[in-house]
Amino acid sequence: MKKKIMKLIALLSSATMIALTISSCGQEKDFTAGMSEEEKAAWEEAAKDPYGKYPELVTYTTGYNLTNQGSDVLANSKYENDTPENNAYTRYLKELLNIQNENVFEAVSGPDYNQKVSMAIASGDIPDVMHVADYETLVDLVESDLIEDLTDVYNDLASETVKKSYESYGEKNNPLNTVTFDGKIMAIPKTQLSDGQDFLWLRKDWLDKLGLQEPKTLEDVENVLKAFIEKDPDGDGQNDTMGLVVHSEVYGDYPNNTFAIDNVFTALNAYPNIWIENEDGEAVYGSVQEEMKKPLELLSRWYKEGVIDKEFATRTNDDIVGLISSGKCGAYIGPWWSPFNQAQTSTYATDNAEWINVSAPVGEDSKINAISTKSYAGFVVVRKGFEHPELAMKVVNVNSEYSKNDKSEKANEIKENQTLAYFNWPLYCEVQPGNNAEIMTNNVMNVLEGKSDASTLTTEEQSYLESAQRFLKAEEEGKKADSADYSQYVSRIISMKKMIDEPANFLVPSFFETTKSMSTRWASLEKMEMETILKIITGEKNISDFDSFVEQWNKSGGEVITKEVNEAIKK
Amino acid sequence: MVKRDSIQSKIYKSLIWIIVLLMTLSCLLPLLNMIAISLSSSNEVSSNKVGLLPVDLTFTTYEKLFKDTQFWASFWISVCRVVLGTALNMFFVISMAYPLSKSKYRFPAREIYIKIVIFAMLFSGGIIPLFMVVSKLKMINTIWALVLPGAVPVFNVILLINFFKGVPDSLDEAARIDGASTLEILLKIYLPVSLPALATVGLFSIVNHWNDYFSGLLYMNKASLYPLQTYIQQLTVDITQVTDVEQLKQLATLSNRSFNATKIVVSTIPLLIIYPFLQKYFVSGIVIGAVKE
Repeated sequence: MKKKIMKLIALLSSATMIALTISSCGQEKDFTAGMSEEEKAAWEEAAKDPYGKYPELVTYTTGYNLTNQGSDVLANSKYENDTPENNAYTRYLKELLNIQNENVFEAVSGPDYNQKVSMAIASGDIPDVMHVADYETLVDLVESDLIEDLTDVYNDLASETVKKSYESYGEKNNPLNTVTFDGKIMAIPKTQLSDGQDFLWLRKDWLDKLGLQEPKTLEDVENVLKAFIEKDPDGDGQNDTMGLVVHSEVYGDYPNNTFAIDNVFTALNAYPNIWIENEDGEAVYGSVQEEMKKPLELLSRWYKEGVIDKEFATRTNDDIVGLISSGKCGAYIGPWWSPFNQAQTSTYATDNAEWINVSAPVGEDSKINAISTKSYAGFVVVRKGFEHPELAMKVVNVNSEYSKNDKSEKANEIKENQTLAYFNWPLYCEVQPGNNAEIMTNNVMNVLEGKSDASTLTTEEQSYLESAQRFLKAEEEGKKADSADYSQYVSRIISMKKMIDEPANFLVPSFFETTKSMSTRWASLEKMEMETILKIITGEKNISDFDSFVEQWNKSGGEVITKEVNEAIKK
Repeated sequence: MVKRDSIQSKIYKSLIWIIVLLMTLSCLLPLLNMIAISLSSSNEVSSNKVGLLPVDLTFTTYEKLFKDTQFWASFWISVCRVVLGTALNMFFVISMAYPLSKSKYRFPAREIYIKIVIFAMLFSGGIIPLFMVVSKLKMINTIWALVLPGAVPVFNVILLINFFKGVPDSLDEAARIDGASTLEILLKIYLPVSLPALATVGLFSIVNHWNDYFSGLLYMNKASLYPLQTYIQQLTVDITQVTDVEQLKQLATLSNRSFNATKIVVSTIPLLIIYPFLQKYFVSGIVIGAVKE
């Protein structure tokens, strides 16, 4: 519902925007007017250097992304009185570049922030530099000529790390492709790390107790789950444990939807919820392909036999976490950072649970079949006519490169704020190589194994190293480590190591964005899809009903949208 | 005959009792559950072990709340908003409902005004135009943005019009014969006999202003200026869909349900305090004994 409203707002805003641009195109004054030659030269020099400090304080207006942690995380720390305009990050940028942000609006990133952006665009008054979360808004801004061409800024000022990071996504998936309009770079894309594949998370203590091997294939998984149900793994003499918990949406948003079971589908070569290429090279929607039948049949059998949670269709996320936390369930599918979930931290603290991630269920070649995520997650745009367009690039440079290698006192505040996590960097745009999480783990592991020195690490890596060391020390002393350290260690070291050692096959979806007809029809199509899938799994419908669903799906707009998607790809 | 009736009425009564009881419970239980969660340790909460009684009783979240400066800042903004907003609402509602409650013979333009009021109730310009008006009037980031756009709650106006209509005309006439002016009639006759309606309308305003989070989100561009419900809303935004590895750090403390429950519980206290004071007006009759006929 909220998404729909936001779409509507975006649509309305673009209409009003166009009307407003015409009236708001004022005359820009040249800020160098009346300066001596020397002063002018100093400004020019600063503008050409990726880390050049401006001769005088430059104040820029912007929108600020907050986290939804609540300012109470700052209470009793020395950052208690920090504000979104005066915090570790902004002070650092001020000292380094002599710039200061003035927030026209602040909001928690996500729908709230996006609404503020829509409103700013609607009222024809966008800040000098801002983060824009979705592609549609970027297209709107470009089409109504509200933002500056950043091609020169990027070519002249982007730091090496930034340029290489974009390239690391490969030519086809390069984030810069998305922001290039008619050969012009119109925005600086924020990169989205590859989140890797989903794993099957199992309680090792249960496996050991029942004398089971780590599963690989779907059959193995089924056997382990059945043992978890029948053989009383928690040893309380009661028949109260269950098999696999399943997200009520079953699949989608790979791999970030913890508890969704996409891997069961991909193991049988079905790729639901994404656009894939068929044999003829055309884009088709994965959920309506013939391949879906096999996994659906399997799941409906599993449901009947109780291998998957009988009540999954009505469970909320909190319910599932509750099941796992209370020690009733020892298996779920989730991404590499699952140890951050309270399902794990609480069982670790109270139940002596030991969680491991297993590459299962695998496909025919004994590898997990995974789906790639898109390579960008938001854009930084500069208002047309802003005197210092290069400022945006500089902030991104500092965020992505300089600050990470800065070992001086100045950077300490930033390091500390990373763990507090209330403020974000201004512009909210970090550019990292796609496999950055793996790279960081490798670096940290090398230090842990004594192969390299801690001083070679970036500040971020150092904080992971410290967490890992604290965790290992506590375990050695037979104590429970702090839950934050547990999460960092198990996800960054244990689970990431498996990701590096046991690579998956990655399928790149052929289309990530939305088309015109989707805005009106997609929601009902998705609803129809989800209803059918749930009914087939729970046995309310027969697998043969899948064909009639596909037919109906095509008739109710699926065919039109598929056509549009193919046209959009060819463009 | 008599006996059968009493059995029937007993069944009726017990049915009504059961229904009322169920309704009461459906209001009360969530609140009790919230209180229990706020008093339990967060591990027990995440295991879904907390029902109506706290498990592993702890007051840490309440201690923490007292140190949360933004919570109290937002609390204060909400209090100011309720006081200012309700005062404005009452002023406009009364001064609009009184003339409109008169018949069209005494107030010929009444029909036009009523139509305007109804039209405004059914159709609105939408969020964007509203935002632009507020923004062009330079009200963004001020308390006026929270109270002025909704200063005339049309529904309440209609409610009060109908109530004023029910006041016997003879009261009005009697006062007029005694030489009271129109304003005096409103203040000394109509308002005192309309206390139940005024209490209702006032309560609506208070609850509306206190519970509204959306206008805070829309018109306040600084997190430090959020009213209380907006502040709470942004803490409980659903971020189960992580789009970004940096959000991991947030996830670490995401399921802090007991602390959020504490905030919600404390935020309902002011309304719980106000209710009993207004309740006595709901009970008392309307114009009992005002006219003898």
